[in-house]
Amino acid sequence: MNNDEAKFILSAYRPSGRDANDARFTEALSQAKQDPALSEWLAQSQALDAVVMKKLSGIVPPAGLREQILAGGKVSQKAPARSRNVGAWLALAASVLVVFVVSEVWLGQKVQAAQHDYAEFAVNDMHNGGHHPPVGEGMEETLVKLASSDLHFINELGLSFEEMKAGGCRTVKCGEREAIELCFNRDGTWYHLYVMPHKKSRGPLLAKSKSYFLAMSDSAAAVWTDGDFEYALVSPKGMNDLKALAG
Amino acid sequence: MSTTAFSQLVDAHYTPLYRFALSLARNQADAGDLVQQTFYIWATKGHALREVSKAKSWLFTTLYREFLRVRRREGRATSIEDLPPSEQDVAAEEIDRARSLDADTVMLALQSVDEVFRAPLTLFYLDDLTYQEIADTLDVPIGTVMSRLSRGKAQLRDSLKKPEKNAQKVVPFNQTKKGQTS
Repeated sequence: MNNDEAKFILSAYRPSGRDANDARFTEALSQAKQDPALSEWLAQSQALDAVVMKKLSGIVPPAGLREQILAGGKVSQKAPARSRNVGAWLALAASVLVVFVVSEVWLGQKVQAAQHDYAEFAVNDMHNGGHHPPVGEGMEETLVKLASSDLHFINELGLSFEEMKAGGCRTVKCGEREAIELCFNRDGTWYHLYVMPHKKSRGPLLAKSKSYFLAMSDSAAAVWTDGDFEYALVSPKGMNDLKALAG
Repeated sequence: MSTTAFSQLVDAHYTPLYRFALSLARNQADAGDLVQQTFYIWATKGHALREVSKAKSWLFTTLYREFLRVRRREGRATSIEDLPPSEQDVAAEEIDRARSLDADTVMLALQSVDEVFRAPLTLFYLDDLTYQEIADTLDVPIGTVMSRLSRGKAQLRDSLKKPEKNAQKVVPFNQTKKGQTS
């Protein structure tokens, strides 16, 4: 493989690390490690890609779109279905419903326990951990975004785990898992956001769940996921303050 | 599918879908329509999908097909043979310039990229799908995705160098639907 071929392949290699396990890139990456010129080209190319990715993550849907989608979904789901064998279908549906309800209750309890553990860990770490704001390049925009009163935390964060690590954010262990903590100031209050990659083995469980709130003395934590990451946000001002941010 | 499950599906995916739609449709109203239409199709058909883990890929594919369905009426195509690839060196000034632009300006630059390259390029930058999923969504081989990506990046870099020209270049989807050209 010559360098032009390697560049062609590597221009598709995303800086987030999503393609790190994709065998299509292995040979070109190996070549870049051994060739300083190619390595420099890759670094510059990825730096530009990272900037564009970050900018696009700042695009937010217009207000009201979510509500319109949900309203449309309700209307379409109410359309009646016809069947010749209504009784059999009803019996089958009833059995499925019983299994579904039992599963949901059991899975719901597991999810809630995991959420509780994460929230408790976050509050304890906020009180006992050594905090410092990130100092690395590229974190300023993130801090400004987090400090903005327009930002609603659910589904609007668009954070990059790798960028936060590179940006000097503190890495902590939550059980066996690695999380990153980001301290930010919003209207004079220091908040603590913990981010860890979503555990795929939990499947869609957490992704399907709502935000979980936990109050501990004067502090409160909210836990939620966007399917890629699991977040815990801790407020020293208590539950009402937190629900306004992540409710 | 329960209302709660549908609501959670919407919450999990409507933001990246909107960004993809905005890149394709080039205006907020049509992007919103595309996202709504996509979830409407999910509500009427998509819930039958057996593997819930594939919902995200299904939603992106459906949105892109809906976009093409309307777009196809215009019959506009782009030659992909005459464009330079993106393997030239990236200057540090290019990165600084991009960093200084706001999100809307970068989106406008992306919207100025030819449609055939814009779709894979946007999915690349959204970073939500694997290459196999991107190829499935666009219904082209992975090699074609990479080739279009390379050329799309070249166009994007060109657009980022002169962002002031992109506003004139980008014609919103609703205007092209009425027969106007860029």
